[in-house]
Amino acid sequence: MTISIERPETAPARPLAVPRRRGAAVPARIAGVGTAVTATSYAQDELLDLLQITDPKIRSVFLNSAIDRRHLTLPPDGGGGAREPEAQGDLLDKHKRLAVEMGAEALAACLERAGAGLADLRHLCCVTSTGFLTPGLSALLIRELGIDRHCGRTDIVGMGCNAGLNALNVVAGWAAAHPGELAIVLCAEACSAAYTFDSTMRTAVVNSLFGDGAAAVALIADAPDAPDAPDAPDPRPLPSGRPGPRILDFASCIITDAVDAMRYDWDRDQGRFSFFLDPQIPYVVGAHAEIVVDRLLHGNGLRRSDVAHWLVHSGGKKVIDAVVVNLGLSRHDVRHTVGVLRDYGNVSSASFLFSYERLLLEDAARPGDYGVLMTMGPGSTIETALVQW
Amino acid sequence: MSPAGSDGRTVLRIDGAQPLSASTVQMVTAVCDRVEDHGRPGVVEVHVSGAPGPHWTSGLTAPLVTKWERAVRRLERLPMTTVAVASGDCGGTALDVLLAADLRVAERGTRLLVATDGSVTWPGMALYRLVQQAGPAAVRRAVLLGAPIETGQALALNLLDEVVDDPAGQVAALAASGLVSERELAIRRQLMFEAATTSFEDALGAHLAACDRALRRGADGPPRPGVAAGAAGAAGAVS
Repeated sequence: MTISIERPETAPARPLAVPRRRGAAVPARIAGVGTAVTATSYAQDELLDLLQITDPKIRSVFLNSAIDRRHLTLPPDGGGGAREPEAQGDLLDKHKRLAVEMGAEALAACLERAGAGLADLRHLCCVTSTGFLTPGLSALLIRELGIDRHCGRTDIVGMGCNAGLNALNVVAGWAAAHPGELAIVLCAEACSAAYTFDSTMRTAVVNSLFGDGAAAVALIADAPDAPDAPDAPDPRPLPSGRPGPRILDFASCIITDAVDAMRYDWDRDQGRFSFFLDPQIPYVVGAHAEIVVDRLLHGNGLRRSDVAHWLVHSGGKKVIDAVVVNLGLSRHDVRHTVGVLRDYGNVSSASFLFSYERLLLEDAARPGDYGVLMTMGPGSTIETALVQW
Repeated sequence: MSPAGSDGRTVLRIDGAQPLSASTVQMVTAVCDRVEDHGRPGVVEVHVSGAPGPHWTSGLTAPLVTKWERAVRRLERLPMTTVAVASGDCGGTALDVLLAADLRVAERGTRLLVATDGSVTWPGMALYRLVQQAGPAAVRRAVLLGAPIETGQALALNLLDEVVDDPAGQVAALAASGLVSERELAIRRQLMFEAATTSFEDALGAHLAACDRALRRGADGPPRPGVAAGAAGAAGAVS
């Protein structure tokens, strides 16, 4: 794959003196986060035995993935040790069941952290790319959990691993337009429902990488009269007791030359959806990472060295390495990204929120610190957000 | 401190005899700001000299030390070549900055001193850098007892690169020689730091990504399409 990089005209060498503000609205804050996984996890070598994979090349892909364990929901043993094949209909049923189960659990954990209840929820935005549902996940969860029937809903389906930040962008706008009202972005990815088992390297890469996971993040904008400046003496704490970071800005970059490099489309030979990843895509993403991050930061008068916390999507070992090198990050900067990959694999759109949760538990962020959230996915695309504690 | 000129030279002077203060932090941070905003190849000259007296830690606070260590770390990762010019006894902030430089030239008689607070050595990140760069056995007496590291020993341990009669002239010659860099140097430097503590397998991906970046950039030309050798197979993905 040959991709040319269209770089912007020389970026401003000196950041702008005055950060750009997005209108007069008070920006949304992150009020809480919660995660959930499916019941069963497997070590990579355990999976190789379970799936009876003997091809040394494929075994090597599994064992060199920088992943220790993943949560997966495998089909039952069909006899003789081999797993039963799953038709596309079975996979869709599995997606529906797991996305609702994990989604409900992540939502409950998120609301608890935010010090809120289901009755406080005013907008629910559900994100998934591992199955197709109509009515969407938001409707299913509202029914399942007894959420107020008048709660606003959005479903973002099929955008891929980057979609959590696309959703955050839209919902942060909603929250800013509705001060004091609670909104949730819920990413629920049943990656076990997107598997194809054959002996090709195409499916081996996918089957070695993805895991089940869901994560929810709560957003709320303070009332306009609340202190907003980062150095304000006494910002109004959220119900959790500690103010979460404010969401300041977003920047995106789609690499249209690489539109086919990441796909989840119909495989006529298999009679099902199948995921495709071009082996070169980590490098393509890495090569474009600076463009979008510098756009995000320069637009807000910041340098890369001003960013204290980097929360990058746990896409896979190669893409994390490419992003780290091209952005000049340290291993410490991506400790949560790497840790989430190691413990859960790639949980698609939910991954960056698993990292955010670890940062929260680490209690390393201090008032005034800036953070960059970054996700990558099909398009090919890089999405970024700037937050400040 | 002088700003980065058209030749990309920035000069910073650190007097290790002065106790660490907020203004020292501010001076280093200001240089880092200028260099990062400069965005083009250049050299940061850091002139270091002086060592603190026995009671230099009175009035020092943990938050100030934190800010200082952060500033030195930023200096250590700048997108430019950093060259230290050392003279006399170098301790305290002077030693901190010296050990963060890419290249180090010194006048004859230069000594490296791990500062003491009057009774015991200071446990800041200079201790870490000395051990990382020279090994624990070589610097044991210095970091535990405060024994000076004399010029010859510092050269033998590669804590200093050259001892010359005219260090400033040496730096000017270096700047004129074209041995100046920007962000691409910082990438190699980061790989170097991590190589000491990373297994080959864990390091491979980052090095291949750096190779891919180099191929895309071309030798000296504008960025161009390129691919790295697919030596690592298809393991790892993005979405």
